Amino acid sequence: MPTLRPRVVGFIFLVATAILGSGCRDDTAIRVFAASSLQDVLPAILDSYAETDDGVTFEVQYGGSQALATQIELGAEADLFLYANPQQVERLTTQDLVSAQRPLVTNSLVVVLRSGAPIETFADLGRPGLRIAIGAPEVPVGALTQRLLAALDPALAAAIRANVVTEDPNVRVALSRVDLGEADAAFVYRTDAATVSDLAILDLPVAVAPNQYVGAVLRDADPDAAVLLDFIAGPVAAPIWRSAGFAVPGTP
Amino acid sequence: MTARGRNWWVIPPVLFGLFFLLPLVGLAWFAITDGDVAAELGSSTTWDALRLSLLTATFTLVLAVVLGTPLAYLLAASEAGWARLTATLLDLPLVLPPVVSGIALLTVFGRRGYLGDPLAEAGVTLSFTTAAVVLAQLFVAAPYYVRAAYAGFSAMDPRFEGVAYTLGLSRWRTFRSVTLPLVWPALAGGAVLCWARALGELGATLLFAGSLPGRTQTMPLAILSAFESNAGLAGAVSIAVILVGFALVLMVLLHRLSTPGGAYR
Amino acid sequence: MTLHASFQGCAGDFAYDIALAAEHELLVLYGHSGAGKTMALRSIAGLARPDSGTIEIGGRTVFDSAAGIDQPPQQRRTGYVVQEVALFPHLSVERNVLIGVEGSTEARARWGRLRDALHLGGLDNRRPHELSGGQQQRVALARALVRPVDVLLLDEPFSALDDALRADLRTELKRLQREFAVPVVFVTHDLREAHLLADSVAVIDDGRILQLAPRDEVFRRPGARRVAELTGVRNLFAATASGDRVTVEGLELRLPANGLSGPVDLGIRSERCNLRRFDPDEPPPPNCFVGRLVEDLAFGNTHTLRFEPDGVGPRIEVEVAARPYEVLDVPSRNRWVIELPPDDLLVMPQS
Repeated sequence: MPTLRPRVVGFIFLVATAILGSGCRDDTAIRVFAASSLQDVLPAILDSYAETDDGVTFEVQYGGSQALATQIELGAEADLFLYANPQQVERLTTQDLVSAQRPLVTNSLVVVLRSGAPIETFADLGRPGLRIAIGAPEVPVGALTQRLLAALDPALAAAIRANVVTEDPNVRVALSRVDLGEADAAFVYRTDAATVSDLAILDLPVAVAPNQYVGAVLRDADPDAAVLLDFIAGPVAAPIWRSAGFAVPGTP
Repeated sequence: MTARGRNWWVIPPVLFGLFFLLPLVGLAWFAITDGDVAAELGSSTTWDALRLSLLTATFTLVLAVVLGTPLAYLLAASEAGWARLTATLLDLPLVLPPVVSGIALLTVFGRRGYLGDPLAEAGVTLSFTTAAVVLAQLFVAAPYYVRAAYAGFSAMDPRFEGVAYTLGLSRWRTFRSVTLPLVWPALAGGAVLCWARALGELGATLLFAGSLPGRTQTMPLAILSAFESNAGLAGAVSIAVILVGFALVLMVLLHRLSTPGGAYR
Repeated sequence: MTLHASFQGCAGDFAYDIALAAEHELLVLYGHSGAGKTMALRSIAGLARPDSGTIEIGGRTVFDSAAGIDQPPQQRRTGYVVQEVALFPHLSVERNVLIGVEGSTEARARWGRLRDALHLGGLDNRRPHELSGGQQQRVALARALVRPVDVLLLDEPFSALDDALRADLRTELKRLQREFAVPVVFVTHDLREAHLLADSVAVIDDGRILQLAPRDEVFRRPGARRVAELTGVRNLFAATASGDRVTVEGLELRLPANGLSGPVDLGIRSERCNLRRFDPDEPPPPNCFVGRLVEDLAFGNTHTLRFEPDGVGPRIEVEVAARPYEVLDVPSRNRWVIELPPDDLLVMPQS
């Protein structure tokens, strides 16, 4: 019976994220599972790595950190796992599926505004009648948003909560609400906000711990995976990370 | 048995049946061993989502039947090219990925959609409301009903109605007493499909209606959220099993309805 | 009760021009499939709409394109029976019959009479699929007659039944028609059925009524070659008429005066031709010619014989009953004298 589970998972996963990893299996490729929020930056980093190691190939699958972790747990084969949700993937470590891991970059929360939305300052988000999209509390961006709301003036936090019209299971969906004009504001990662050019961005009034990305080399991984992880965390990749909106620790 | 030889032909259908049965058994088994169905049954989020799902799917079905039956009848009765074209167009939502259907709905009913301004002026806001959930389900699921009803009406010999008219029965009385009973199995089958599809609708609902517990978070969206939570797969599967359980009971009831005791043949 | 209908129209690329009339009689609308029989019935019933013309049922104008009258089928008081969809499959016999007239005591009384007349006692609660084919058609007839109707329209109602049942139903239909004094238009493509049932026959071909006349007239004096063909005349020739003489393939035949002269169509039914032994010493009598037997097909109680002329005369098909066939010992000889009796010759204006 356990052999059936990946199929069940795969089905839910595909429907849920609508992200399809496909292509033929390549034995020599480094298999990377990456959080979907890395979709815009990781290809550039991998290209850059490929210049240093001629002939290396990659097989990258993007998805929610949690979904990918579940897949690995259920036997999906991967060498490197880049994820956005340290608390929630602890299970992999406890199940001895991870051989090494290191922190990579952080991603902070911002508020994006619909063009023409009647919002000037952060406090305006509490004005009645606005429509605000946030991530579901279960997903990292939603958890971060909840931490932010908890750190705000309770009255403002309550007013903002009253304006929430959707708790999206995916940060890109939340972003699209504003992009499509359906919502007036959305709490999203700075990196996601950077993918849409003409949106106004509000910075946060209080500091909350940003979202930490972690890279993990998985058990029985291709030896090249550790080298690749070093490169991803190293100085060559840092400017690529920063240009995409990520903060790289130890640099300004 | 020996005289007829061995019935080897039954093997493929049995395997095919298992192909459907085993994943469902696997799901249930996984929910029992790894999940916590009891905890999810005690969760108000689950009940909110379940109630919302049953409510919206049923309302969707009612709308599909009330609006779709005359449409299917009209299309089946007309031999004009536009009728066949419309019947084909109605199949399109079956092909569209639901997420695309959600976007399609936004282009019309969204705040910036073609009807956005007139709707806003009329004081109607659709997106992020329960009504939007119903509209999304209707767009995705109603074609299943209309398709089945269209096939049913098309298959019926129109001379039954002709005879009824000559017997003095009005059009409405003929439809009620002759046409409807004759196509009833097709309509009921389509209704079950429509309701089931509405119950499982995810993509279009997420895009068009959003996901807010109690208002727009239906069971599939709750499952998706649970999947992302610490409970992960186990939580998602536990809720899924509850949904499947309820759906099973209601489908059995609907099937009863579709083959009433008064059935002929 | 009368029916007068004259209407024209098009269904797709099929054009039709129908003229029908029936008094208290059974009018058989006879033609091949695709000739427009069903279209004609549907137009009278109000289920199809002609482009122009008038239809009168029982003295009421139910359709008149010029006056803008087009009554719906519900008001036309027609009884309409179709073979394939005779009964509503989901309703019991009684509910089938009484649908639409449930509250009427008069209808119930008529149903009582019809139930006895059509031997349908004890079947009230049966479903159509529990009835035999003959019972289904009887119930359909009862349903058509249970409300007062001004014309009964029957579209090949017995075509799926076996011969014995058809014979019974024909008898019952004739009886009902007299009892209810209602004109009946009976559509069939079966020549024998037309012959057995009809008071009058309307021969329809390619959307047009070719001839409408009392049965015997249609069969004995077809108005045109096509009518003769459709009514089973196997021997049809081009001929030249002159007074009481007609010449076909060099053979001169006498016939009763008919007023036609010049080119005509000449026909004779194969069963109307007589066969005589050939005697080389005796010259052929009038209206006779010598033929050589070229084909002999046995059909049980009849034989169909084909002859080639030996000298002047047409090729001809002769039908002989089994008894005279044996008495004459047809296979024993090759040459025969074929007689075409004057009274059986059909002369029609050439088409």
